[in-house]
Formats: sequence, C-alpha cells, structure tokens
Amino acid sequence: MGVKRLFLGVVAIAGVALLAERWVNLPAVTQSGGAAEGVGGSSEDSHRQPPVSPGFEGCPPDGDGGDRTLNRLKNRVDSTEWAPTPIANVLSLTWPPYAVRRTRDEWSRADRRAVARSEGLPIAIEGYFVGAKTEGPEATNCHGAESKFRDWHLWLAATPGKDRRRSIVVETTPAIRAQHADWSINDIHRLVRDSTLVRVSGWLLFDQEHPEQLGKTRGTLWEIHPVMKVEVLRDGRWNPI
Amino acid sequence: MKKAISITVTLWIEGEDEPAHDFAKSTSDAVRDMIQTAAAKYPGLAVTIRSIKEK
Repeated sequence: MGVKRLFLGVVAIAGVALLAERWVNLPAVTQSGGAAEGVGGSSEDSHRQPPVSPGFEGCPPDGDGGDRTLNRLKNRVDSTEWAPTPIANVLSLTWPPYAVRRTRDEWSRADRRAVARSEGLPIAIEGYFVGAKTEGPEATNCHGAESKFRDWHLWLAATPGKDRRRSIVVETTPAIRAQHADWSINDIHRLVRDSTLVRVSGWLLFDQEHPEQLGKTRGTLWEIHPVMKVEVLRDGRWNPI
Repeated sequence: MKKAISITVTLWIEGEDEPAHDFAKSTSDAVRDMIQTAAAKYPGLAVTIRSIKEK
C-alpha cells in the first residue's frame, strides 16, 4: 500500500505535584436512548441485505484498527434500490447513549438491536451540500496516505448555505470512488457554491465515533456511508453527476 | 515553587507499513518510547504521559 500517515495527539504533564483538572472533555450526548425507529418504518433485519466488503487495493475490509465491524460496514460496495427518505426522518433518528464512543464489540445486545433497526437501510435523500473536504488518513482505510485512500466528508442539509448544525454527514469511500472515476471534490465544491439541489443515495450507517461534532458540524450520528450515488436535477430528471 | 503544565502536541507521522497492520498502535507505542527516552535528558521535569490517541 505504501506510505501510511497518522495524526497523533499527545498529552503530557511536566512538573511534580499538581494534577491536571480535566483530561477528558466528553460532551454530553443529549439524544434520548431506546430503540430507534426504522427510517422507512421497516422492521429490523427482515429484508436487510448483507454487506459485501471486499477491501480495496490491499487494505482489508475491516481496515487496520479501530472498530473493525464499523470499518467493514463503511467499506461495503454492494448496491440496491434506494428508498426516497426525507432528511428530517434521518435527523429524528435516535440512538442508545451507551453505544456512543464505544466499539461495537462493547455494545449490549439491546443496543445492537436498537441500531440495527435503521442501520443498513438503502436510502436516498434530497438536499444541498453545505460543505466538503477530503478526510485525513484513518483506520478504516488502513491509514493510506494517498488521496485515493481517503474518504470525502460531505455535509448534506435541507437548506443551502454554510450552516452544518442540522446537516447529515455523507461520505464517499475509496472503493466506491474507484467505480466513479468522474467524481471530483471540486465538482462537489461547485455544487456547494451554486446551492444545487442534489439526491444522495447510499447505506444508512450509525457512526458512534464523533459525538463532539453534534450541533456544530452535524445534526446526527447517523450518516449515509458509503455514498453510492449522487444525482442532480436537470430538465426535471435526476441525473448522476 | 512547583509548577505543572498540560501540553497537547499534534504529530504527523508517515511510514511504510503492511496494509492490515495496526498503524495507530505501532506509532503510539513509538511516540511513547520517544517521549520516555527523551525525558531522561531533563531530570528536573517529571513527565507523565496521560494519553496518546489518534486525532
């Protein structure tokens, strides 16, 4: 695979007697617990398609560390029919508080069941991109340093602009982008700039790892990940970008 | 007087590695070792690593 890269944060204390007061600043997660309602009103797992995750250019489907089960879901490549879903339905989904910032092998059976009610649903959401950036190296993609190993982190909102507080994070992955050589991050930036209505299709996924972004740069921990299709409305019809 | 400080450092680390090998663990271990080794050069400072984690 070649070069891997990593950002490491190091916290050290110099001195002798005094202890730091705060080492961890975990934000409170305010979402209510309990079972999430399936976004499409469906019952859990009854028609769920098993994910196909073959890996990408030597990187195995479960990455090189972190939450291996989550990585496998993020790296899926299978497709299906995408169910039109209002953005508000995704924003209103809840999640079990204990699942946040914990790897899936630590989750209780009840938490798994609650998340599974919506996770893995094939959905299509209309909205506006309100931001886009190339992610840094991460365990899901084996910390690959080249841009082809990075996710694109896109923010989709009900209204155009720059406000991401009520947005949904939708991410393109290396394996899917390899199937769409014509996708470019500059094109996404253009869609942001021009406030173009888009329809994004892909797999609904619960990413428990970024609660600190809630209310700042995302409105929910539910994502479309991976993004399988991006369309724009042209002449009254949806066309792939 | 005794003094103390909490310092956050952000490192960018690159290297060759096998795709499936846990890069976060091996680099975290390396950074821990670097700090502990270098701390010996400063006997007047007691350095305690509280956490090393991927950003």
